[in-house]
Amino acid sequence: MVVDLASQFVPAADEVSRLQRGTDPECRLFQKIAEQGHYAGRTQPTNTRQGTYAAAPNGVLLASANTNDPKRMADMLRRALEKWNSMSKAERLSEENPRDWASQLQRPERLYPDGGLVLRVVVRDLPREDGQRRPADWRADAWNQDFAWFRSGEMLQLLPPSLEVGATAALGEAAARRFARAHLIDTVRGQSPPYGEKAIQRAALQTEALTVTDERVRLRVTGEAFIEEEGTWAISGFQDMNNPQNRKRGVDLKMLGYAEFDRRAGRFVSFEVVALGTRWGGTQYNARADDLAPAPIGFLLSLAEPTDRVAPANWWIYGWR
Amino acid sequence: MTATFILASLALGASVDLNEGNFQEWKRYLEPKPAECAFEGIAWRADFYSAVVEAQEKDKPILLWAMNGHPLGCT
Repeated sequence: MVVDLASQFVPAADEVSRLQRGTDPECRLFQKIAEQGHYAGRTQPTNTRQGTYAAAPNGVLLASANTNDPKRMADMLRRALEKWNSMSKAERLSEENPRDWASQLQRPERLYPDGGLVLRVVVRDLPREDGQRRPADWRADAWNQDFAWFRSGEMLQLLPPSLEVGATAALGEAAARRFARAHLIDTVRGQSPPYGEKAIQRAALQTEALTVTDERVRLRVTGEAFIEEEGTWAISGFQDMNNPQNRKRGVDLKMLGYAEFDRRAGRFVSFEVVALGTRWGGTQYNARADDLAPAPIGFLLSLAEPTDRVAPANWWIYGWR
Repeated sequence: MTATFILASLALGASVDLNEGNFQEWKRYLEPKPAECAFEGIAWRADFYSAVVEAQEKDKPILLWAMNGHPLGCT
């Protein structure tokens, strides 16, 4: 039902923090819509404006909600369509042409590494050795994903300089540490901030050429990471946000996988790397407050689709301009 | 197959093991399953701006899913 109703809209998904704080025309339009919606004016417990909004292109709110209940969502969409259909074209379209805003946008996707390597990073819990099942709710099957970016020069560090069987290479230290800080994070159950630079005790990704032809190089990929961070932070969402305690969090991971590089196209045509190991600790929004002890975790790195241009969640620590 | 492999790993009581023999099994375990990607059943544009441009030109309403963390990335 929701899918059918949604087909009558132009659907978009986006990150709310930039939209609600930014100053470019796209952000200002969102702020106009949000301040008519379900969290208008809210400052406690946070000022987030997250949710689902139905709106006219000129910023008139049709309906909004912050729910994952399909019935409530369908009801919201029906109300939005009813309002839309009651409005004239002049009442719902903008007098501006939004195409004119393009040069003013400050979206992180402007930094997308064309010609580089973009990986989808999936993370989920692994079964526990002691047979202890995970919680009997959504957390049991939780998973998350992110996108990791590498510029062309960083990608090429993974190719051995002499393309012969047995030759080896390694991702440069700066890129490896950045990848670890930004992506080897326990976000299985929810958002978690990037690690500080000092938390990265080991981070390495190496390759070895398995086969080499004029067209392709097939590589074995191995790697490891040990990351541990100490500090003072909350672990229970809003409950302890005003009473943060000393905490630790981290991961200890080994990586293995395979990748294939197309020498003529100058790009990877396959990339599949698994990272398995242990995580510990929790952060304010990653729902680990009752699961702080070391437990197994896994990451899967694979090529993103060319259409996947969503920026890394922690894109700002890349330091790219 | 994957379930059997996972249970066998647990029975051994070993810490998480990753090697060339079990790589494919772990990869399959970690991959999102079709039911977990039901949200992709809607053709979400990956940014609000694209939807605004398209909605203005097609005279259609916008449906925006805005979350702390990109809904198509890490939320």
